[in-house]
Order: sequence, then structure tokens, then C-alpha cells
Amino acid sequence: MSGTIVGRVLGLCILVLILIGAAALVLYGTLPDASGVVIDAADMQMIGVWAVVLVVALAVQSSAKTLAGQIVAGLFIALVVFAGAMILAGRVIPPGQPFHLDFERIEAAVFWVSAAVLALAAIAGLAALGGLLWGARIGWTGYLVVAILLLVAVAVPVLNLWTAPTHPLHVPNYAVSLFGKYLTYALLALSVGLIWGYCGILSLGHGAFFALGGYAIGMYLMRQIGARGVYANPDLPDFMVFLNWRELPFFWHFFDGFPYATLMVMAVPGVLAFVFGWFAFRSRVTGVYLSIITQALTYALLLAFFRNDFGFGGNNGLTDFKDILGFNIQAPTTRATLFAASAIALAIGYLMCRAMVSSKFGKVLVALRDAESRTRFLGYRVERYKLAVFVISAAMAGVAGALYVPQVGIINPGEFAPENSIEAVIWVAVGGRGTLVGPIIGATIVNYAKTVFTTGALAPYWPFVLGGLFVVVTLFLPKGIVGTVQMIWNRMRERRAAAPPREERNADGHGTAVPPQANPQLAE
Amino acid sequence: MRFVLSAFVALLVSALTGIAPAAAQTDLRALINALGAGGFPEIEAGLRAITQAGDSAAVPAVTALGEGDLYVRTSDSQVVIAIERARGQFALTDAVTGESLGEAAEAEIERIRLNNRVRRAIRDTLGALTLMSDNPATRLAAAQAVLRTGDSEQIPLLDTAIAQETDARVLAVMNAARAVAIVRSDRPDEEKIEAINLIAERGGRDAVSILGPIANIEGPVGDAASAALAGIENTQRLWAAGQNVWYGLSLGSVLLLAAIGLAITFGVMGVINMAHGEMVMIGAYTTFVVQEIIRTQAPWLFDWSLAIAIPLAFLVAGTIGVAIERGIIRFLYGRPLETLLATWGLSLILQQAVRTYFGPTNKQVGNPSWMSGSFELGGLTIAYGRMWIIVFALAVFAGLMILMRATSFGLRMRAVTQNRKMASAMGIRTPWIDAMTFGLGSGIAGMAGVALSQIDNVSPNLGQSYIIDSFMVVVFGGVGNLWGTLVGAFTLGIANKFLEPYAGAVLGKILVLVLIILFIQRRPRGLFALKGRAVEA
Repeated sequence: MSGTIVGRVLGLCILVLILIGAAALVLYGTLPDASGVVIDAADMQMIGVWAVVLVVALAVQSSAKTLAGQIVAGLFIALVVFAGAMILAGRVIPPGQPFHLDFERIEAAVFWVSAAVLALAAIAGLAALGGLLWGARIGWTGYLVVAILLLVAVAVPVLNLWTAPTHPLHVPNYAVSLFGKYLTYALLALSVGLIWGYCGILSLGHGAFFALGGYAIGMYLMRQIGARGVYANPDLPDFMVFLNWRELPFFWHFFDGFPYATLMVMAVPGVLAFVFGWFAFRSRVTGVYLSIITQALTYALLLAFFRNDFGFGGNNGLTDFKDILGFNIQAPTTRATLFAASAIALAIGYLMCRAMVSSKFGKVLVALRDAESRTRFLGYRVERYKLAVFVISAAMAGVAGALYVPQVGIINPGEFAPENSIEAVIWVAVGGRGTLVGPIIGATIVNYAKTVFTTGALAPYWPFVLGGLFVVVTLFLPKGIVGTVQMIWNRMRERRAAAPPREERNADGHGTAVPPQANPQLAE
Repeated sequence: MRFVLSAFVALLVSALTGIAPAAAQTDLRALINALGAGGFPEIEAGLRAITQAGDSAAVPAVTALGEGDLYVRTSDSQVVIAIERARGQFALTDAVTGESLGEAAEAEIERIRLNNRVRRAIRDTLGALTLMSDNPATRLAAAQAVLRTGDSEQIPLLDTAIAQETDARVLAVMNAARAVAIVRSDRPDEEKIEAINLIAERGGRDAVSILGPIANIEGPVGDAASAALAGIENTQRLWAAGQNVWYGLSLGSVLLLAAIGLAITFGVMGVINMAHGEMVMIGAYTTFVVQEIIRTQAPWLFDWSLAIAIPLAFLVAGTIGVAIERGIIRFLYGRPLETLLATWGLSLILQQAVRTYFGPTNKQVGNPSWMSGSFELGGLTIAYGRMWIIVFALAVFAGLMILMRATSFGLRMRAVTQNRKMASAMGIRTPWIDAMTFGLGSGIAGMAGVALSQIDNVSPNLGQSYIIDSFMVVVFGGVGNLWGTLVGAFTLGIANKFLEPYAGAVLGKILVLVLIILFIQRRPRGLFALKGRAVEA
């Protein structure tokens, strides 16, 4: 394939260039040039990050088979080239030279390009979703879930804002934030449920993607504080002033713009998942091994984000937010809007997953969950399916994190703790694996229980309850609530129809050990 | 306090020199009386004279002079040591013999005054005098004092001291001190170069600070010093690397201890036990309880507390392990992901149970005397605690190897691992073997807890900090292979310690994690992968 060759050659050239640059940097400290071009260490970091993204882009491009894939990859590469041009014009070419752009111009350009990409992605996504949904079987449960979520999205804000506090149906402010938080957890659970329930990938590091999304939006919110911080520094967030930093690190640039931040909310977890999954799935790291290295991944990120010099606020994380899109983040209307946004995001996420799992793509996922080798022998590129669903799931977790942070008002490295990721897994297990409603229900129930327990005198007993949940669910409720209800429902129907009972048997005892649906047609 | 101290020194020295000949005593008395005869230059000269006489009987008088307790009795200009007993009343003692001379009023005696030059002279004199002491420890301390100051005026004294020195250790220090003094003196270059070589041979940080300034001097002495300095720095770098290896081995032994039980449950049985860290924690708490009981009931047993705690920890953690296997894990064989979740839940429960019972704070676990302190081996500082933990880790490993290879239980265990059905057909009670194997793994984790309680905080979170590292060790070394675990633990330990100086502790750890993640990509089955069909099963 020509695309592959071009990609490889380009990648190699860039690698060589970077190596030469790095060597020069090590030898001379800076890269002097007759024209006054000077590349310092910060530039090198930036170019390094850029090169990684470029390599990822080329990898995507070289592995894209379909026309749509090629188009997406092409757009991706165009973006990377744009970023490269911006670095060149802004940092490498000195002021006064032709083609130099000052920072404000670049910022504006990035803002509008991100906005355009977002709009394009939204249109393409909606179109794709529409196309998928057209042929997909949503089922009555699917419509019910979406209807309930939309109803909640409208009803809770209305009841919160437009009823008197004494009204029996009034929803107090704290409940809006609380339930908004549950909705974002549900979206995280959905992303875990998608890969675990339908693809057999047990990620113990999904909290990392959630937290990365949260950090991306947190950076935007930090930049919105402007000069209203404790140190009243218009250029730097408080913690950087505190640490005596002189200027904004390059990875904090452009986060003033909402479109860019939103893009990063999905792109950062997505790219990380892509890079990680690319390596992991290609070398066929499966099952428990994958779980453990995902846990190591989030653990490594936890350690990294705890460091002050990593540039994300260290131990304290990002907090003390003021505005989002110009609206006061504490105001009830903003909170209600965020709640509605979370509910709608969850509904869209649900529809997306629904469409995916009921398409042919979803069938392949289930096939490789139950019999990975067999699927591979049938000619499917198993690792590509896994990678695709892993990246989508990571981006979804990132969105969940981005909706979570403005509602709780803080993001700190604690969100990377492996325990959080495992808790997300138990939500899915409680709700029901191999279903899409299950994670939503599970996340809501478990978190409601957590709230009830941890706010009262029972707080010391919550770990017992949570730990007990893990044990009880795996031992006695392997299908979770939804799966069990389904099983009972099916049994009753079958008894009524006097049909011979079907024997349940795992098609292939191959590791992932997901109990198959008793009746695949009736799954949800 | 001062009185007690000087009285002690006086007592010590008089005990040592009690049999000194009377003739020497009279000489000394004249020298000491000279101290009271004039101004500061005269005192200095007197001190020099005392130094040259080299009689350690002068030590109490000079010490008293340094502390301002040396007075001149105005009636007969004899120099005495006087201590103020009550206001204006002084108890007098003889400056040479230490005999009591009765009391005197303030007016009868006059204090010998000091300035900083005199104080310095007193210090040097004391250092030199004690070089001749009969007590080797005193001589060693004195030689080290001279080594630090490097006063060239003490060369003759050192020469005398070296001539009569018998103790090899003291002699070495004295020679070094002499070399330092020579380097700082105005002796001929050849002698200096010889001395530099001697210092370089001795090595160490002191040598660097002595030779550093000299290396800048032009001429052969400076060159010799720079050459010596380069040599020393090279040796030091080697020693530093050696020390790093030692630290790495120490960390590796901790990792090995934490991971070796996991190598049994995960590696041999294929059971993911996320509660493994909690078994370690329980072992540490067992140590705590044992020590508490010993503290209140039988304090004399304290040095044996670890020896008592090790089998107890094995039993406690092992019993809990068997209970976990019988109660939960046996229902989940063949479903590794579910096992992972259930045991994770279990770890939460165990942690919270310990937190509720013992409280969330760190518990104090003491080190027995043989675990504390350290010794020097060449340029290495080796702490006894760390050394014993390495020994213990290797002993546990060896014991486990013997158990697996040379006992009938080990044979059955391996049989069940390799072919459960066939083993069962041969009459092995496979469920029993499962339970015992799991108990063994947990028990070893408990023993690891005893060792870790000596170097880490004993808190309910103790186990959590080791669980990810332990899994990394087992996965890195190769699942199902105990040798792999050994190699993996020490490799990771040493790698971690070598990355730390360059990247810092946290970043080093991150780097190691990333490296392992990359390594698993290359060799998904670890360093020492099992080969054959059983692998894919």
C-alpha cells in the first residue's frame, strides 16, 4: 500500500530530524542559525510531542482500510501538519522574519481550527450515528433508556429552577450536582461496559482516561480564572505563580479556547488509548495481563500527576474554578445546564454504543470476546477491532471526566488512583455485564449507596459494603442486576411458551470467561 | 556538667597514669606552673613545651585550662584546678596528681585567662597529648583529631607516637595524619608526594577535601595531588555504583519477598490474588501484636520477637489464605477476571477490618538489636536490617525451591498445576492441594510482612503499595517460574536504584513501569516464559 510506504518514509525522516535536533541540543545547548533561528529545550519538547502525534496520525492513516477511515486519517494528518506549521511560524521563525506569526494570531488560528474540527466531527458523528441507527435495531429498551434520559435532562433542571423550594417536586441544588455526578459516572461505566461486556477487555485503568478528560477541561477552567486568582496573575494559574514559574508551559497553550479544550478532552485520552492499545493488542497482551498493565498505566500517571514539576498543579490538582463559557460555574442555572448536558451526553453515548454493538462491528466484538483465536482464524484483524473500540471507549471516558469536573469543581491526581478504575468496573459488574443499561443502572445504584453510606455514621462500613459487593456480585450475580432480571424474564417467557429449556454453555472456555447471553436475540 | 566531665577526665587520666615516675612528675609540675607565669604568648609557649614533653599526665590540667578551671594560687604561684563549690568558695585539686588541696576563697586564687589563640593551642596540645595515651580508643580519637586539623607542627610528636604505636588501626590513622601534616608543611616535595600517595591510598571523602586545594598548586606536588584526586574519584564512583547495586539488591529482596507468594498463587496456580498485599499487611500486624505482647509480658524476649513472629505470621496469613480459597476462589477457577474482582473486594474488606480494629495510624514496630546499626565494607555502608532481609528473602526462596522440588507436597502441587485431571486420576486430592498451595502463597506473603514491618510503616495500606510492584515482578520474570521471579525482582530493584539518581525517585519508578509495559509488549510471557502447549491453555 502506497499510504503505508509514504507514512513509513515520512516517519523515518522525521525521526532522523528529531534525533539530529536532539543531538545538537545536547551538544550546543541551542540550535543557532545564520537566520537567527533558535530552538531551545521548550521547543524541542513541543516538537517531540508533535512528532509523537504525527507518528500516531501516520499509523492511523496506514492502517485505515475504508474510505471513511482514510478521510478521517487524512484530516488527522492535516491537523498535525497545521500544528507543525504553527510551531514553525510561532516558535522557530524569529519575529520580524517572513512567515512569523505572533502568539495571538496562532491562538486565534488554533481556536477557529479546533472549532471547525469540532463542528465537522459533530456533523460527521451525527451522520454516522444516524446511518448506523438507521439500520440498527435499537429495541424498545433502547428507546426507553434514551427517552428516560432525555426526560431527566429536561425535568430535573425545570424542577430545580422553576419550582419553589417548598414545592413537593422541587429538586434542591445539591441534588442536581449529585445526580449530575452520577450521570458522568454512568457514562464512565458505559465506556467500561462497552469494552468489558462486549469485547472482553477488562481495563483497570479507565479512570485514567476519565481523569485526563477532566484535566483537559480543568485546564480550560483554570485559564478562565484569569487575574481573579489568589495571586491575581493574568498570565499564569495560581499554582504556577506559587512554584515560581515564569511562563506558561507549552502544553497549557490554547486552553483558553473552549473548542480546543473540548477537542483535547477527547483527543488526549483517545491518543493515549491508541498508543497504549496499539502496543498492547498488537503483541496480543490479553486477559489478566492487560488488566494489570492498564492498572500500571494509571498508577504511573498517578505518580506523574502528583509531581509539581509535571505542570498540572501537583498534589492539589486544579480547582477554584470561576466561569465556564462566561457563566458562573456556581450558579444554579449553570449547574442545571451541566446536568442536562451530562444526561444528553449519556443518551448520545448510549445510542452510539447501542448502534455499535448491534452493527456487524459489534457482532465481531462479541465474537472476539468469546473466541478470540477463532475470530482471528476467520480472517478478522482482531487487534484493529479491539483498538477501535478501546479508543472510542477512552474518548467516552474522557467526555465523562470533562462533564464531571465542572460539577464537582476540582480535579486532582487522586482520580488516577487504581481504586477508582476498579470501582468503575464494579459498577458495570453490579449493573450487568454484556448489557448497556446495566452499567448505567449499576453506576447509579452503587454511587447512591456510596453517598448514603459515606455521609452518615456508617462511613467506616462503606469499604465493607463495597468489598462485599465485589465478592457477592462475582460469586452470586455474575450477570449483574440487568442480566439476572433478563434471565428470570426469559425463563418465565420460555415456561409460558412451554419451550424446551436451553442449555447454557460457554461457547469456548477461552479465558475471557464472559457468560454468554442465554438468548442473544433478547440481549436487552 | 562541666565539672562532672572534667572530673571524669581527671579520674580517667589519673587512673591511667597513676604509676608515672616521680621525676617526670616534677618536670611536668614545672611546665604546668609555667602556664600561670605570664601573658598569652607565654601560655602558648608553655603549652608547646608540654606538647613536646608528651606526657599524658598533663591532660587534666590542660583540659581544665580549656574550660577555665585552671587557677594560680597567689600564695605560692602554684597552678591548681579550682571548681566553684559555693559562692566565692573554690575546691582546689592538684593539677598534676589530682589530689585534693582543700578549699580557697575567691581572693586567694587567680584565674588563668584565655584568648582564642590559646584555646586553639590547648586543643592541639590535647590532641597531641592523647596520642600517647595508653588507651587505644583515646589514641585513635586523638589521631583522628590531628588528621582533621593536619597541623604540621605535630609531625615530630606523631613521629614519636608512630614509633611506639602497636595497634595497627591506630597506626594507620596516625600515618594518615602524619601524611596530611606533611602535605601542609613546608617539607621537600619528594616527601610531600610520598605523603600524597599515602593519602590517596587511604581514599575516602576526607582525602578529597585534603587534596582538593593542593591539586591547584603548580609543580610536581600539585600534579601528584591531581593524579591522586582523579584516582580517588574513580574509586569513589566505583564504590557509589557498588552502593547503588547494594541498594538495588535490598529493594530487590523486598520485591522478591512481596512477589514470591504471588509467584505461587498467580504463577503456579494462575489465580489473581489482589488481596495478596493484604496478606503482607496481616503479617506485619502479626509482628506488631507479637511485639506488643512481648513488651508487656516478657521484655527480655524482644530480640527474639521476629523469630517468633515469622512462623506465627505464616500461620495466620496461611490460614486466612486457605479460608479465602475454600470460601471464594474455588468457585471462580477458570474465570481469572472474576477472581481478580472478588479478591480486590476482599482486600478492601481486610484493609477496613484492620483499620477498624487497629486504627488507621501507623503502628510502631521495633527493630531488635541485631537488626539495627550498620557496618562498613570497603566503601559500602551496609545496614544490618537490610542485609538480614536479603538473607531472609534468599532463604525463603531457597526453602520454597526445596519444598517444590524435593517434597511430596511439592510434587503433588506441580502435578496438579500441569495436569489437573491426570493428577486427580492418580489419587491426588486436587481441592486439598489447591487450598494448601494457596495457603502456602499467602503464608509466604505473611512472612514477607514480618520483614517489611522492619523497614516500612505498618499501616492498613502497607500491602497496597506492594501489590502493583509484585505483579510487575511476576509478570516481568515470567509467570509460573520461580527463578524468573528471583531474577525479575533483583533486576527491577537494581534498575530502579540506578534510574533514581538521574530521574528522581518518582520519575524513576514511572520509567520502570513504562519500561515494563514496553517489555511486556515484546515478551508477553515474561523473561523466562514457559514453553509448550500448556502456555496457551
